[in-house]
Amino acid sequence: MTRYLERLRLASWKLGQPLSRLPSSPAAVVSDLFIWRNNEDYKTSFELISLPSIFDSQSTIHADATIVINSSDGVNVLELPISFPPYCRQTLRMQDLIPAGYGPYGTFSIFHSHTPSNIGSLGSFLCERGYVGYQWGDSSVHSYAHGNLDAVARLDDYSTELLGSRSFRKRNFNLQCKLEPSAVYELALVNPVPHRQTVTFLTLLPSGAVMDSRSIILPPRGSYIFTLAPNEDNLRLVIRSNLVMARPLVFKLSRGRADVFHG
Amino acid sequence: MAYEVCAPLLAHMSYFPVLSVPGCVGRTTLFNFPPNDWECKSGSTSYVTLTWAHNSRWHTVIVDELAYGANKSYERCHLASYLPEDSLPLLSLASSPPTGPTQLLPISPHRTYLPSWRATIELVTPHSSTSYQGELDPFPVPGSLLTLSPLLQISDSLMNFVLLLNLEKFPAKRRSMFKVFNLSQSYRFLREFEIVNNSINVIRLDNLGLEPRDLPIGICADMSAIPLYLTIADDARFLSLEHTHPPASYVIHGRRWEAQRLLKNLWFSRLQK
Repeated sequence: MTRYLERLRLASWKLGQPLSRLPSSPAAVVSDLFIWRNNEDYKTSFELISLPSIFDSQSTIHADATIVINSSDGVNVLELPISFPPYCRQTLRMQDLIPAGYGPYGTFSIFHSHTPSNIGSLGSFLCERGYVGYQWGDSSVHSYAHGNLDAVARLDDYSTELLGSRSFRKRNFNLQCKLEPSAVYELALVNPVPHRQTVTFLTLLPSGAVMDSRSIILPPRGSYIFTLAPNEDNLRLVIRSNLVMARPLVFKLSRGRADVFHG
Repeated sequence: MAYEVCAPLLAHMSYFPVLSVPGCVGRTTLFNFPPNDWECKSGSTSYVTLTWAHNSRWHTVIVDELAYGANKSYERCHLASYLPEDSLPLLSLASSPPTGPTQLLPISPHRTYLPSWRATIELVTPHSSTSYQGELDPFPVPGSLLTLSPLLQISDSLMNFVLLLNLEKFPAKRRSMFKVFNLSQSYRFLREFEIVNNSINVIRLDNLGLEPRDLPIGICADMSAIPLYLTIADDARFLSLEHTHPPASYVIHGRRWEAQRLLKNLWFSRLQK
């Protein structure tokens, strides 16, 4: 009986609330909403490889993709086709692509030309969840983070469709990260849902009491970077929203170095 | 008892390895609270357990207790008194004490899925650190591996490694070969490396003749692993660590594991000609 009730309770959190909905066109291709950062401290790059060519049983000589860049308030600021050799790595330097005047951060997506037929026949969609490199300060190394979210589809009429769904009830994402007073944490969150979302960042004391609370509104395709400089040990951060999984990208700045990882 | 409500409904508990790489210290931070507020509704103090393989048996001991809501970091030096020299330390959280040595890897209930319950798995040098949030579950045997890496940072002043992290239910040692090819040069074979199960295999990827735009592909026909790519600046002031996805992550929805099988079949036949 207890197990049955528990299944029922969990179902109320899952049914009709998938992390990623099915695209409305079988010919769609899918991408994450990656975070770009572009200012005097940060440079961003993306490692592009041709995913359709990887699945193709015949060798190809040419690959195409489209990069779509959004500002932090979710406005599409650039859409650019890219042609590249299929079995090579193409490093896209975002500072060369982002138009001036759109702020220090936002999101971008990479849409490959098509979902190969052998994938489409499985009822699946090609998805770009690739690798973004962040360079902070004078670092000679890109700190890489992989894509994490099947967030947005490009349909056969070239329109885009956000695939995130809303949770019926507010839910907490408890950041499993040791927050050190010697470091500064920048947490980047995106909205993959086609509706505005209210997101609350709660800083908790070790006792669980709320020390600080800040709410923001994230427009569709929008992004926000929350900064936390812990002033004591054992603080915790909770992200409360109707997003099914409000998992942030974490930039930990410490000793003049940046460590970038998914929360 | 902790998590008595959700535990029976879910699969198995993950392990959290402490990495070992020459020149770096592995540090793993455990969290005794769930990553969300709806998959697990209760919590209490948990045992911190350490598991390792030795003499064809899995050994598990309690090394600590962690209060609910707390976190704690562990390095290999904290665990060295238990461990044989070449073993992979596997930390975990448990609600009950372990049994004696076993022939199969002990498995406890998984607690969350959105996201998985993870630890911070970190490499530290005197000047820097790099980490990812991860967990480690046993791979099927024999399994296989296909990894495409655009993460190498080719430069004379940088060192690049792939760390192949394997865990299997069976403790007996077995070996396999990891082969690296250059996809950008007509799949040219570059080198092969011996790898061992239930361990972290550290493989240097410099000096293979790769150029910055080249795309390396690595395969292993009969052993799975998580491929972690590590870059170290020459003075260890800067580090980068990230894993590549399993091929199934290139697609969503539908029969995506069939897509992974399709991709592996395609490339294994192409590369092993």
